[in-house]
Amino acid sequence: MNYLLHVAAVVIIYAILAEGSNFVSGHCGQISLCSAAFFALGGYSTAILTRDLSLSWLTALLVSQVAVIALACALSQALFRAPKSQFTMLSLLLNATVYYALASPGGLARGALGLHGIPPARFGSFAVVTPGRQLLMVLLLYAAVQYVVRAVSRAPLARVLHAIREDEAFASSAGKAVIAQKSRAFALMASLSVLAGSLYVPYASYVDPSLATLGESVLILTMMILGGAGSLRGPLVGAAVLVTLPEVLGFVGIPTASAANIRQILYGLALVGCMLWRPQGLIGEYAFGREARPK
Amino acid sequence: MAGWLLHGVLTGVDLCAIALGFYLLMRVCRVMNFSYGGVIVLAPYVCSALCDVVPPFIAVAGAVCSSAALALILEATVFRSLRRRNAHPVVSLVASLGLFVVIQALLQMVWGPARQSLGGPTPPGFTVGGLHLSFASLTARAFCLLAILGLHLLLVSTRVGSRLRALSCDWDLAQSLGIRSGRLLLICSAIAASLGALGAMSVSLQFGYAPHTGQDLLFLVFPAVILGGRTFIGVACSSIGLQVLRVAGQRFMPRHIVELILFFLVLVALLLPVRCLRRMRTS
Repeated sequence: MNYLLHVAAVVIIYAILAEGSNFVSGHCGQISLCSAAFFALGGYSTAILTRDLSLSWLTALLVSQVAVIALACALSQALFRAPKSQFTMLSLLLNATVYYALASPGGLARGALGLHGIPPARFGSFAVVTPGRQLLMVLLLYAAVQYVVRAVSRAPLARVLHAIREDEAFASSAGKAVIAQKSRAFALMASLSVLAGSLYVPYASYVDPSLATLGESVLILTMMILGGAGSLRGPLVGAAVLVTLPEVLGFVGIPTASAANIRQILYGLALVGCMLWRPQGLIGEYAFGREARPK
Repeated sequence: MAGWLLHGVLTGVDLCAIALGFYLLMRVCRVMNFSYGGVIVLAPYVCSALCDVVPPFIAVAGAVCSSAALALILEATVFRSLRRRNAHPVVSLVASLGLFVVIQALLQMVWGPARQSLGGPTPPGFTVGGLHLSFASLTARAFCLLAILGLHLLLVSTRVGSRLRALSCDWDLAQSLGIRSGRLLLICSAIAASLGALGAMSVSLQFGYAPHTGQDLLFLVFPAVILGGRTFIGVACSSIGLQVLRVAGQRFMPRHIVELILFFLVLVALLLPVRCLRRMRTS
């Protein structure tokens, strides 16, 4: 039972990450590969604030949110001045830079060793220690995230983002502040990634630089695209499929040594197959715009 | 100082070859092709396997051919299919990311995750300014340089080159002038993969290689491609220049600080209206 609760909690944490990625890559049409960097930053800041400074989980979450959103806003001013294709490269560079910074020996992050012994979240005398309580907390926060995501998808911001995705020059000529709107989407992505990091770290009780690898960013993007870019339920479906897939492979009896590689191959093939035959994802409706190309 | 400057320039030549291959795919095929990272890292593995049975030069040729063949297969199967479906560049980008993940995992399954070395631990050579230069790595760099010059000559003075340039400037116009894009894109993919494979093997001679080497190499060449923008010379100069800066920086501070500084330099370059950069980026 505890195992199922664990899998459900991980699915929801990844669904929050995929929801964040959906703002930039799905609604805005800019493929971002730096979700994992913000995920790791959220995790590390929560770990340091709760473990070393003995702050409460909620205070740590708020401090992490403010710091990372400020960083995301500052970075996005430069990142979104680059053309779309270069934005992807820059987001990947950002991810790599954060990874190198976290993996370097010494310092607060303690390099590849990571940080251990992170205390569980506490709300007064209520400690979130059992798998049931952890899942309940994750579910409550996911419900809040869904509420925000639905509110944003009905707000003018979503319509402007869709206009930018379809025709940036047209949106700009219609008087929309393209970079400012994209920055908002980027800040939302950073905020949700930090929330996911802050949820994950007390749950796992340790954090290491593997949270910020390129593979992790690709996984988050795959979840978003496989579920359906720009859709409301797509990220949850994508996360459910891709998180449960390795668990199913475990039951099939594939040797542990090759299970990770087979999982990567399946992720990769899922991405390629999705792009070839179903670019709108499993339950999505939007397929990235089509361009005239020679046969 | 001569030692690290030489080291920066020589490794810059390797990265220049890799960056120009990526640039060629971006400009002509209009795909930001992440699978390129996986394709080029196949070469050191194949070269190492072939070195046991054939002379080194034939092994290098075989490795380059293997990378080119893989690039041709990917172009003919995945990217051509996507183009036939009028796929958006974002779709091609995501597909290339998927291919990259698959290639990397396959390399890891076949050869293992450990870093391997190409050539012996202390290959014969000589020392300049405290820097040991092996004959093998110098030969590899010479090949890289020749390949870069060859590509430049191909682009500026041959019919295939002018067609490739036409495709990179205006795809539709090139099509309407009777240029057969399908075959040219195959040629372009093969050239890019061969150039990148030479660069990857040259880097591997010095630093070794592992399945994730392709990803590390892409991280190293992205700033050069962003700063170099849309010109061959721009990409070539920024590859070598950034590598010299990287090597110089690593003498005084840890690698992650250098990468952080370089990343912020790239961001500042995007923000500041530096005229020469803008000209390079938009010409």
